[in-house]
This record gives sequence, structure tokens and C-alpha cells, in this order.
Amino acid sequence: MVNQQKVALLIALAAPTLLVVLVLGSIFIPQLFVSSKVGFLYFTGDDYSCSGQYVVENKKVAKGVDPFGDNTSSSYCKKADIYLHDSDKNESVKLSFEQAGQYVLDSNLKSKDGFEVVRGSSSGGFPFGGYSDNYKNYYFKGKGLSKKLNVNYYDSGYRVDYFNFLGWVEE
Amino acid sequence: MGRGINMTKEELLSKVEELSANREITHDELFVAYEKGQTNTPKTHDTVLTKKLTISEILYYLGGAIVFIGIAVLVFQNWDTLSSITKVLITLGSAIASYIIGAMLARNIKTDPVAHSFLLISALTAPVGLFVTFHVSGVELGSQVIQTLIPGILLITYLVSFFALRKSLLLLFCIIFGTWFYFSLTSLLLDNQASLSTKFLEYRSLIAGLSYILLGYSFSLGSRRPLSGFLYAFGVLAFLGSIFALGGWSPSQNIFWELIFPFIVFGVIYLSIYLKSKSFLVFGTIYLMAYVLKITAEYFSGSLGWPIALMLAGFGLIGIGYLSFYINSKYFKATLVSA
Repeated sequence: MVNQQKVALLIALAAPTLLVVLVLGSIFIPQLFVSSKVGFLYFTGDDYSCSGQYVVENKKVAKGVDPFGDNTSSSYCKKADIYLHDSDKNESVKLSFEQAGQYVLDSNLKSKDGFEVVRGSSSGGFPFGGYSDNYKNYYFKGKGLSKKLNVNYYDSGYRVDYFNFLGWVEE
Repeated sequence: MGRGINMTKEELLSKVEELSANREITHDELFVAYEKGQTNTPKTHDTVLTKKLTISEILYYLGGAIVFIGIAVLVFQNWDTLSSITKVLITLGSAIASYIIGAMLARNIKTDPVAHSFLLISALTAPVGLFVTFHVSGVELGSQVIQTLIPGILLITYLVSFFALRKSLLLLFCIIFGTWFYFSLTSLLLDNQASLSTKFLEYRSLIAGLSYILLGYSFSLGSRRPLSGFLYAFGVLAFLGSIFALGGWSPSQNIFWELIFPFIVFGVIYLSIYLKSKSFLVFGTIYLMAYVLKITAEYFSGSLGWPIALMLAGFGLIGIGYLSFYINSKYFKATLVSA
């Protein structure tokens, strides 16, 4: 094999390897330098109709529609639990309604230090840019950092659709 | 030719004539050397992909492909009635058995073509076997980790096999499994990211296409030359297709990729002469035509009017077609005639 071909072979193997290394770097290097101390509250239910169970009023968690009321659309919602998520440890702790009420919340989608909780993209998957598995997850994103959230869901159906963001915890 | 010998066959024969005339070599010595070459099993003998296939060899490959189809249909039609062990035995078991048979037959140059058909069965059945095995183990097949693990296992297996058996067919499957692994691995890495942009798929395809082209070039003068055609074709298809897609569509087009695309396409058409690759010429021509139509529709249909834009595009296509025909007749057909 002449030198030109050896160089071509080297580049052919190095190019995809370099891309993988760059992707790894773009994911893990920001995590070394960027972190957030701001936690947030969210709740997950066992049905779409649970989305109105809790709301933020006057920077506090308040109850929404009564799940066992006469409203037919909400009668499918049997359970909705509130969680406090620690952004740094990426862990959630279940709270009672009374415990959640003790937190002062900022219901803006973006926190004061520039982070947000977003759902993954539904397209761009392999092959041919189709459905992406990222759509099944929520991500903690901001300042070049993006990591999958370990969120507590009920083990049923379209569980990611039952995630409801409440607000960022204000110190 | 051989290790340390830098002579053409004609030069070697001429040298033999000279040695014979000077009585420095005997007929028996020549005969023994020839027979020794025939009976030794060379480490890199690879009879099938290095020459034109005969009818029997085509039938070997067809037979192998049909066996694979039979296995796949058997399993899927009887999925509910077969036990887990049977499913694994039929799929993964067949892959392993075919591989062992192929490896054993590959040791003898006379059974090398048959060995290739068994190695083909193994390579086609192995992914199915691994999917079935993971499935009966209760593992979620949709998991990105499994989608990456399977091509990873196949890549390592066939890479080791290639270095052991030195078959171009195994190298071909190394490249196929390697490509699958590359796309799966990058998708797995981005599983932790908020957005898997469509643009990233195009960049990955661009890199893959470029790698294919460079691999094709690196194999073009050696014993793996038959793989160059496949690599050039898929490489240039992915390379130009990615850049074409990266250009986007008005009003959200990417000006950089849209402007650079024609230069790259003309570069590809020029390279078709240098590399003697018809794939470069054909796909370069097709993409150039597609580009003319795209730009005409994007930027000129509104201002010049659709009918005039179509006329311009049509003349453009005629010009490109003639350019392609000219290059083909001057550089490709001339090469065939002189050969």
C-alpha cells in the first residue's frame, strides 16, 4: 500500500473516531464546569387529566381540579404526586402537598441561573431522521449543559406525557 | 507481486528465460517452486472477491442468501409456537454453525468459494440471532444500549475473523457492522442530550461517506480492490446527500453549504476521472442536476416566473448531461478500449 493510501486509510478510520470523541467531549466537559444548585418541583400523575391537579398561585403550590369530582375528564386521574428534584444530584424526593406548600416557587420556565427543563426532540433519530428516543425523556438544559433527568413516573403508558413542571425553588 | 519482489510478471518471465539460457536454473527447480506455491495455503488467499464471479460462485452466494431468508421466515412465521431455546438455536445457532463451517472450508483454496457462502449466511443471520437471544433473555430491544451492543459484538467478532482468515467478505461486513455501530454509538451518547438535531444525522452521514470514499481509495490498488466500487458508490451517495441536505431549503437554508455544494460536486466529477470511478460520475451528475432544480425552484421561480425557471433548469440539465456523457466517453470508455 503506497503512502497516499495509508494516509487515506488513517483518515478514514480517524474521522468517525474523532466525531465520537468530540461528541463525548461536548457532553461531559460542560458537566465538569457547569452545575446548578437550583431545584424544582414537579408532579406526575397516572393520566393526562392529572395535569390540572396542582398549580402555582402566588408562588406557592395550590390544588387544582378535584380528581374525584363530577368533572368527567378529571375522573380518570386517580393519583398525582409532587416531587422535589435536586438538580445537582439528579434525584427526586416525594413530597406531601403540605410539604410542597412550604416552598416559594418561580414558575418561569427558565430559572434565574439560566436553566430549563425541556422535553427531548421527537425527530432526528436514526435512521433517516425519524422518531427519536429522546422524546421519551425530559432534560435539564442550560449553559452548554444538557443531561437526562431521573424523573419519577408511574409505570404506565405514555408516562412522560404525565410530567408537569411546577416551578423553580427560590432560596 | 510477492514479498520483496518488485517485478512485473513479464519482467520475471524474462529473467527466468535469461537464467535458463545461462543454465543457472533447471526445469525441476522451476516446477518445484510452482507446485509449492499451489499447495501451500497462503495466508491471504481470497479467491472469490478478487476475480470475476463464475456462475457457480453466483449460485453459492444466492444459495447462502436464500438459506438466510428461509431461517428468518421460519422463525417469524413460527414465533409463537417455537420455544425460546429453539428460537436461539435456529438463529444464533445457525450463525455460529455457518461461521465454523465457513472458517474450516476457508483453509483450503479449493473450497474457498463454498466457504464464502457459509460466511455470508453467518454474517446475515448473526444480527437476527443476537436480537432473538436478547429478546428471549427479557432485555428491551428498543433500548439504545442494546442497539449499540449488538453491532459492537458483531464488529469485534468480524474484525477478529478478518485478521484471522483475511477474507474480503469479512472485511465488507466489518465495514457494514462498523457503520451500524458508529451511528448507534453516537445516538447512544446523545441519548443524554435534550435534542437530537436532524443536522447531527447529516453530519454523521457526511463523515461516514467521507470515510467510505477514503477506504475505497486505500483499497483501490491492493488485493481488496473489489471493495472499492461498493465503498465509492455508497460513500459518494452519503457524502453528497449529506451536504445537499445541510444546504436546507429557503427560507431556512444554510448559505455556506448551498454555496459550497456546486464546487464539491464538480470536485467529485473531476475525481471520477482520477479515481476511475463511474459512481462518482453518475452520482455527481445526479446531484448536480438536483441542485440546479433546487436553486431554480428556490430563488428564480418567484422572480423569473415558473415557466422561465423551468426552461433555465432544463437547459442546465442538458448541459450537465452532456458534460457527463463527454467525460464518460473520453475517460471511461477510452480506458476500456485501451485495456
